[in-house]
Amino acid sequence: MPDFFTVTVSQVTRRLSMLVKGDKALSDIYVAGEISNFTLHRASGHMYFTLKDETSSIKCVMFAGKAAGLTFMPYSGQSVIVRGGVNVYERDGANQIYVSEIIEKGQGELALAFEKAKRELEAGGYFDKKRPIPKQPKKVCLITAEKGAALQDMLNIIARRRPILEVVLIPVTVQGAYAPATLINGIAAAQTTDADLIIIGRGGGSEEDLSCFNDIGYAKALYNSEIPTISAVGHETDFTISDFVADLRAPTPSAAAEIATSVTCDDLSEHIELTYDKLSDIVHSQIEGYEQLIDGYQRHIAAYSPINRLERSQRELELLDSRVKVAVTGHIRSNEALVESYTDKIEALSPVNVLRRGYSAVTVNGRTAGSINDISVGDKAEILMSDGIAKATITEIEKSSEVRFK
Amino acid sequence: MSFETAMKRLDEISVQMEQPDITLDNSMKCYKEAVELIAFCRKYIDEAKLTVQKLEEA
Repeated sequence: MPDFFTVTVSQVTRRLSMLVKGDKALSDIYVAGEISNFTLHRASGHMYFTLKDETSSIKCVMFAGKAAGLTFMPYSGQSVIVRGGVNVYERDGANQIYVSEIIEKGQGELALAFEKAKRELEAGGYFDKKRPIPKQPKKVCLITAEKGAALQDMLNIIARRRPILEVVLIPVTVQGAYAPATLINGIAAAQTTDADLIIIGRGGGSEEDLSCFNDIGYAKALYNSEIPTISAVGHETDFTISDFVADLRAPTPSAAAEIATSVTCDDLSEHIELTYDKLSDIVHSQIEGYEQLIDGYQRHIAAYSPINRLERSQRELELLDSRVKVAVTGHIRSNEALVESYTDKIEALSPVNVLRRGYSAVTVNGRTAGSINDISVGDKAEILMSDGIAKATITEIEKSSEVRFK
Repeated sequence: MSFETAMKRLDEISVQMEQPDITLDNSMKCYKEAVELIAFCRKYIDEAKLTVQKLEEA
């Protein structure tokens, strides 16, 4: 046995495996070729085949998990594009593609273009701008085909759910070679409106029909829109670059219209009704509160009204007045009685009554003669009686010590 | 004069009228002002109620 350095087979294959694994250029690639020796392992569901071109071939395995995603059954002789990573299968020391996806040739061209555009845009950050969609947009720009069913669907939904939403139609071509250019112009036109939402809509179609929505120029224009965008292209299962770039993807144009009208006019009416009730309650309770306050002030002011004081003063005044009156009246009455008693007394003492009883007074020369010595014969005397005066001449005088009444 | 000013003044007057040593003359003046203020406030509230009612019927 010659003495030189040897390595094992395992070491070689492991080294090869490491080298291949370390090569990023081989980790996720698209490889075009023709399928041969296709085998489907019934029990596991794994697919084994060889991919070959004119000069070369490589073994491929597609495990059941990935194979389940296929929409067709591959067959030997079919031209395909295989996506996957290359690795070394150590047991056989053979290179092998671990397939994640198989794309049928023909559709493969488009798919490849799609993937290329997607990668470029994703790397450029074009999928990262996700602005919120206004909950209650005022005006929406519909960028769609003028005669498309998508437009009718969207208009119907808007009319039914939120007729107050203003709609601006920007007609575009949504299919064919000119479509990307009209879409770009449409987005530019939308920027000049005062819309606060853009919906780019198109109904379902083949992958080829929808390919304008994978255009890089269009995607960049969409990305640069100042107004938030919803991409609603094709059916629920269709994905386009447009969907990734827009602020929001809607599965269909109808769904986009529903998102734009998430707050319906019915919702608004209900909200207005509730708000009105609330306001009404507030106003009524405020008025009621003020009324009670005013009532309170009125009672308070009435309680402290000067009228009470005035009435008390008036009562005092009346009392004083009556006391004064009583006092005065009493005084007058007592004096009246006094006057009367004096009158009686004076009347009783009056000489007139004596004269009435038959007595007379005699005056001579103006003097009352109470004694016989006061008069002489021949004197002119006046005899005073109760109701008159008699004139007489004294003819005789008879003196006596005492006058006796007969 | 605003409704609030009137209400505030009513409050002041109420306090003033409560003072036991208020002169009759001042009490009279306060009372006169209070009655006018109450009338003003009531009118204001009645008009506000009417406005609300009309708006509700509309």
